[in-house]
Amino acid sequence: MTDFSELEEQLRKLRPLAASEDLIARVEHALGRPANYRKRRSPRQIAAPDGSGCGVSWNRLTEFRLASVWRQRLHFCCLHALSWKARNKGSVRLLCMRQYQPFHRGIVIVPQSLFPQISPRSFTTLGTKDCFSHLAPISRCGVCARKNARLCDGAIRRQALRCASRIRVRKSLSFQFRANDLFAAQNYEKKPDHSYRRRGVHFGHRICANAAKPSKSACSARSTRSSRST
Amino acid sequence: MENVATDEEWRVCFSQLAPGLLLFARQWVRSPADAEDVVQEAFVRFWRRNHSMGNRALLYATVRSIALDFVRRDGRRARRESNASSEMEQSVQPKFAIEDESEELLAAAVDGLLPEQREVLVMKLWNELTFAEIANALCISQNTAASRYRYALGALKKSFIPQ
Repeated sequence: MTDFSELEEQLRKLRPLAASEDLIARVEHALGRPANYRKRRSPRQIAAPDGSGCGVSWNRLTEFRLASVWRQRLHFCCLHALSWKARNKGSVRLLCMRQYQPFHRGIVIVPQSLFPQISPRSFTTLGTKDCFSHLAPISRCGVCARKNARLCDGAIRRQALRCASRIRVRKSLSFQFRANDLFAAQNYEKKPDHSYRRRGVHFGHRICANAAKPSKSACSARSTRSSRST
Repeated sequence: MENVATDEEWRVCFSQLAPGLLLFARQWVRSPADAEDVVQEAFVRFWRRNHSMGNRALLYATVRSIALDFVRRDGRRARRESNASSEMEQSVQPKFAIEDESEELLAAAVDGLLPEQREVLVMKLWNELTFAEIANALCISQNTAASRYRYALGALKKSFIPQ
């Protein structure tokens, strides 16, 4: 080590640059704030820290987005403010849900239940697999309602699944969206009536719009054809 | 919990440690402004957690961690800027207060060291940390820290002092 003593002397003569006044002022400013200063800021202050943008009319979508970010931060702070034992109690969730609903001046915060995150698998069909959305409102329509219904033959229909779309999954490949085709109401028939052999009526494998009423046009056409042949 | 700016103790500590911390941070970041950002963030984080100022190894480890995070985060931007202005490579602002030509050569020789040797040298010479503190900050053994220091001095002697 004695070989390097002279070199060490020369190196120690090099003096690093001193910190600027600007850096000291910045550190003082940073230390002057409370520790969770950023977490306590409102969405307006996040976008405009100096308050210059308070009078500007905001895009509502931006406000919603900022409000959700701020809500997540509040939730994060709330969880971290609790002790480990308190987190395991059942009251923590209730406490957090209260913190999820802040109200501030001029900020419209969308309730979280309107935009729940659902599994994309629940409404993905062969027809809608290219249309993918993570955020979709839960439908309140009758198709998706969860209620029991007793059919005419006495069989209890299964409960409707809680899905996010009115488009239901159907296993048949011929028509994928059964929920919207008004199958029972208009008595549509998608298969040819195979009883024509019994009744002697030939429909030519066409799709009959109303199977309850035998088509007069088909009967009249048959009669005219027979009259021509005779 | 609240170490607010009304406490003037931080100013004394910071004025003593800031030049060495800036020099330490300059090993990873290119510009003095980035080094100031790193030092500010590290010192504020260290001070707010009420660590003892005697635990200097933790402060330097914090600076190193934040600087490495900074480099990783802005690596792509730094590469793009360095490719765009490669001729500005020589005009990097100095890290030392240079008075004569010999000091300038010595500073250039320090810049040419290997990074792991240079960080030990900076911590030992200009921040006056012990080998135990250096080992604690860099997560290496004391013998490794001492050997890196010796290798750094040997490399400097080879490059700076003609045999």
